[in-house]
Amino acid sequence: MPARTPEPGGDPHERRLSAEEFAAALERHSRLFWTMAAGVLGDPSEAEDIVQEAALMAWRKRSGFDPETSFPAWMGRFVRFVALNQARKRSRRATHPVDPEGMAELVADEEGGLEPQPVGPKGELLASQSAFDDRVLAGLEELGPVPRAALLLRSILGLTYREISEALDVPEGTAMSHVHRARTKLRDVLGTATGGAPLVEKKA
Amino acid sequence: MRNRVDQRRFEAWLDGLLEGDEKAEFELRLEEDEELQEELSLHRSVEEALLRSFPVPRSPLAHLSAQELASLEEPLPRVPWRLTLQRAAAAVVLIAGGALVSTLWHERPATVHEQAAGGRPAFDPISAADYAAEPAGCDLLEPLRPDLESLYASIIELPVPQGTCSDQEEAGSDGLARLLASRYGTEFRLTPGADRSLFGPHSSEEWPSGMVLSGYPDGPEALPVVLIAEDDSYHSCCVHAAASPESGLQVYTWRVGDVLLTELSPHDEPRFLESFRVAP
Repeated sequence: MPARTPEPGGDPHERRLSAEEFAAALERHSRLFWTMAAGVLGDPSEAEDIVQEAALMAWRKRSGFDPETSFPAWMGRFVRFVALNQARKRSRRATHPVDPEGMAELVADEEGGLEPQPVGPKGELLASQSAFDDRVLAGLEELGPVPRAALLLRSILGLTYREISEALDVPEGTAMSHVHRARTKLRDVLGTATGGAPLVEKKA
Repeated sequence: MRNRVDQRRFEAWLDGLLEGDEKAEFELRLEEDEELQEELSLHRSVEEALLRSFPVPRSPLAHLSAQELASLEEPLPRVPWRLTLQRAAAAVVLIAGGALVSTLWHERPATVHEQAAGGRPAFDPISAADYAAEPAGCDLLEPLRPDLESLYASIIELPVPQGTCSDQEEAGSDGLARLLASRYGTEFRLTPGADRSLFGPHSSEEWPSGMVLSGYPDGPEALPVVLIAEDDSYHSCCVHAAASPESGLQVYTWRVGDVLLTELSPHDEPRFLESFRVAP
């Protein structure tokens, strides 16, 4: 590894970020960290708490950050660490998942019949948006935490593969491969959910 | 989608990676091909569903201000002179104890590998030369090098494909041996009586490699990591980078058949590698 030129005054690691610099860097990338946390967990509900906990952990260990390197890459490790820990805690207390379709039927039976299905302009039956979203979420659950986070960073924030690779600390080709496989998986899940028929209505 | 090539091209177009004739050709096809249009429609619907399901707040950390961070700075506590004396006494006892343990340790019988190597350890501890050979890998974990907790986090988050366990606590030693056998076509067996609990495996489809995390019953501070790779892949770079001299960790490598096993350990000798043998 090429040796770094020491900064005047000693080791670059010794130049700590000030609270203002740290808070500014956090703020600048906070949407990225939030999406990463939500992606690792597969659930947005705790993402903000995860990012906050990671930020405090990173702040305490900021002496390990070299200001010449990437802040999102460094901070991203804390976010993933906290999120993965939380995911493991969840999996330990996980119960059997409830099939959303089964639940809908159960609720419909209790309420005395099925809800009318939405119908398109030509009278065709449209897939319910929330049912579609549920299936997308179910497909996301089948992905690993990092591919899921990679997909969300690409789809929601529109990051480039280089940015994703930096944030997730994986090579760029791997980031691309994660997104590709995640998309393929989702397509497969959504395809089989309707027995191969397209689940979404065609757009004009 | 008709095949993988189509899928790749479709995604390359989505990602804005197609240019010139290739892009024009694809867009022409998109206009004519209903299946491709359905694919695009599905893709857009998925992206919209993701946006609905993961509404990113405008400023998720707005309430964490610089003042709040600054208030977390803890002043160094004043140490009373009595406590200082107690610590000095404890340090003397520890040093004396360490010297005694060291003497006893060097009188222990040689391990199987040391015997095989004529009394010399068969494992090569990491040296500066290892870093010189893998500059990219060395950069990967550098900021957190001395931090075992973060190192562990960096390792466990590596991609885990479907079909292997997704939590390192799920697999037992037998499962690990079976996976290694299927992955490498080599029969492994674990050393009888090994008292380690093997956690893992973690592996990736991108690289023909796998990783095993191991825990000891005597405490979480012992965090050896075994890396299994068929070549010097990304994973091994990570581990080498993490085991810098500053980290206090050692890397021990051992080739079993065609597989390179690497143990990252806080201990003065490998404790894990002996668990693996190529079956006779």
